[in-house]
Amino acid sequence: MLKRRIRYRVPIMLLLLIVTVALFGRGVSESQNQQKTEIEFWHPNSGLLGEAMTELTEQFNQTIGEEKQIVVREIYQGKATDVATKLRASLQAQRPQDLPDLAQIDATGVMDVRESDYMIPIQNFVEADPDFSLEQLQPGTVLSMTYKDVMIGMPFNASTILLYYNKDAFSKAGLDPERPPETLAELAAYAKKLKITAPDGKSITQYGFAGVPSTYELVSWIGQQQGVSYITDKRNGHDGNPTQVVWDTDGTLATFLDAWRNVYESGGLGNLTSDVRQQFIAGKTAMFVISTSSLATILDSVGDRFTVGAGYLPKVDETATGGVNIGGGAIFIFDQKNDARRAAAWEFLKFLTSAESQLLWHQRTGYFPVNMDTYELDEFKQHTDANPLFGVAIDQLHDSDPRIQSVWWPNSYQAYYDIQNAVIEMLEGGVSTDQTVQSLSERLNRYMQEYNRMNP
Amino acid sequence: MMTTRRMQHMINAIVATVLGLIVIFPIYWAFIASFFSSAEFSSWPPRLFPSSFSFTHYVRALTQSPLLKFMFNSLLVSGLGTIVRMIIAISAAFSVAFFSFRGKRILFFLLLGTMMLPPDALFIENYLTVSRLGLVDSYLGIMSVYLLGPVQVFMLRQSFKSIPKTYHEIATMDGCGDFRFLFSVVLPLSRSVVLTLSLHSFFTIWNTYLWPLLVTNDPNMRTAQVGITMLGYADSLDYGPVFAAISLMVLPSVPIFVLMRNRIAEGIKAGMAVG
Repeated sequence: MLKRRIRYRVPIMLLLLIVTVALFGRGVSESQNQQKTEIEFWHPNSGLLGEAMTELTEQFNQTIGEEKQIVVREIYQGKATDVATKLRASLQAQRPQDLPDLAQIDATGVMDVRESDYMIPIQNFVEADPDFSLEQLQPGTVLSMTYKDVMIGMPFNASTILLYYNKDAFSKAGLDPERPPETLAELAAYAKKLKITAPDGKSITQYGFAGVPSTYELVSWIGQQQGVSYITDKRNGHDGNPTQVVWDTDGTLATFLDAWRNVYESGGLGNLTSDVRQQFIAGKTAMFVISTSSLATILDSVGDRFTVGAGYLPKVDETATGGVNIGGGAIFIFDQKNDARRAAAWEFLKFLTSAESQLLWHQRTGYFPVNMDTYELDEFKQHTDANPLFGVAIDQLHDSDPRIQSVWWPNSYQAYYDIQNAVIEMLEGGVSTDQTVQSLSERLNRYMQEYNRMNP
Repeated sequence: MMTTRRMQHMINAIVATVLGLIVIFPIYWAFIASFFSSAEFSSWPPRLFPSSFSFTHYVRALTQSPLLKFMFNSLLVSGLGTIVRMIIAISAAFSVAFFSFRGKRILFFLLLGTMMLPPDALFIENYLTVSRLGLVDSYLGIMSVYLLGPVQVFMLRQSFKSIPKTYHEIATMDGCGDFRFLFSVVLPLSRSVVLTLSLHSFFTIWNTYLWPLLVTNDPNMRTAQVGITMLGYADSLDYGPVFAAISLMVLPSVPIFVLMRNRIAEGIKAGMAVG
């Protein structure tokens, strides 16, 4: 009996010991120098992007950081949406001590931070620093982070939409491989020629164009019409919370949908909603659109199987000359009620957006340099000469009206799929253009009304 | 006579094989894909076998992120989380199954009620609590939300209820205390259920992503699932290291399931028996 009890006692005691020690144990953090100002930077950069970010941060810590006694800790906080979730948690908890000094987020995360008292608009830093001029930043990227006429975030990873096409497929179809389609009407004609049907006559082995437009495509395809247009009022939410869509009264959505229906009726359009990039790489579609930030990986994956071409996003029609909007992300500064840390955060941001840092970031990741001086660097020119497709992407950016903006609205995730579903239903279910405009607008308006009711 | 039985047997075998293949295929492919070269990932039709076995992706997975440290964190959080969760769940289930006390039904239904709440809805609220307790960046902070498992309490109660109450009465009459009754009678009889629930709980905690990410800022405190996402990014087609990491992650669970599959099957059946 006694033996039995002892047999249990030792493991239980051991277990209790382990439990108590481990429960209160914390990870060992690196030793810190007391005199230095340490700041924290949250970002969603993983893989190659993460490596580039680490390199930039190390560069800063060893040069300017060494000189000015600043240490930046860059911390990967999951995907862009996860960074936003983490920020939202700290902001809602009203716990600035849980916030980082800097955080990199994308358009969906902007909704969470733009009205917060803990966020310090970048404009404040710009105005207080005589050494820094907004002139050196790409104008579209500045406007992309402007809310109610105040620049709130520092553009960092900027990209636009781009048309990718298979030059070999163009040649085979008798099309000029150096001349991508310029309008949606041309896209329809090209897609028809590029479509290849299997010998059985049923399945399609190569689509002319694949993809279903979502918010991402529409900010440009709506934005480029009538000079400059917007999806919603308040300039796509950049002047305050949007209350309703304006693409119905402007007629811009109907114009686009009619042009898109024409592409579908050519027979060469594949309504694929996922893995379109893989389909392109595998040669199953001759054209598609995706962010310029995918260019490097696409070139890499295609290898020498075929020649990749890049072109401007085809215009909705001849009159739609506005171009494309700038997407991507920006870096925000949060208030730690500490002047030294605030200054350190700004110092680091200036380094990240410097001409040299932006060159490194561009070469490693394919994002645009947001600093205009980068474009003048010899190394940059050599890089675009060696990679002409990057040049196409950059020309398109500079030819675009900087006032075309991404949309900041609630339920952006649902809206993305609502738009795709409405387009598919229109094309495959035979719903009329007017009806599609009406039902989609009603649905999206409801999201905005509900959000505004809950956030007066 | 013989033929119908044999037929039935064959149909069972075929159905089981098909279902087994459906389950095993993604795991097989993730493992095989971890040896693919970059070009093989985007080849069409997809490959079922790599042209050569090289461990470059594994090396990259282990060097690009501190994966081993992350796996240790995951192991600690899942292991300890499961142990504490089971201790609490066994005690709770034991008391509801064998004792009657005031408010027992209300307490039990309150507990079950928490099963109705989607955990995502509580994220911010839980974060607030953990943060105010100063447990951000601690193992306890990560584990805190897993310590009380209503599912485990419920399943154990069902299993304990299948033990006749007279055993408890007889044991008490013979001078056996409640703890001894629990350790010498109840737990040995419910071994399969306890084991299955422990394993299940271990793997659910092992697989969580967002919560451990939310309550940790220190890269040293990250778990394995976060480590996997560090290896790829949205625009990346460089899947090799990701699949290598996934293969490493699945590795510990395979021998456990192979060794214990009979007990696990028993446990699942036992939990369903009593209403």
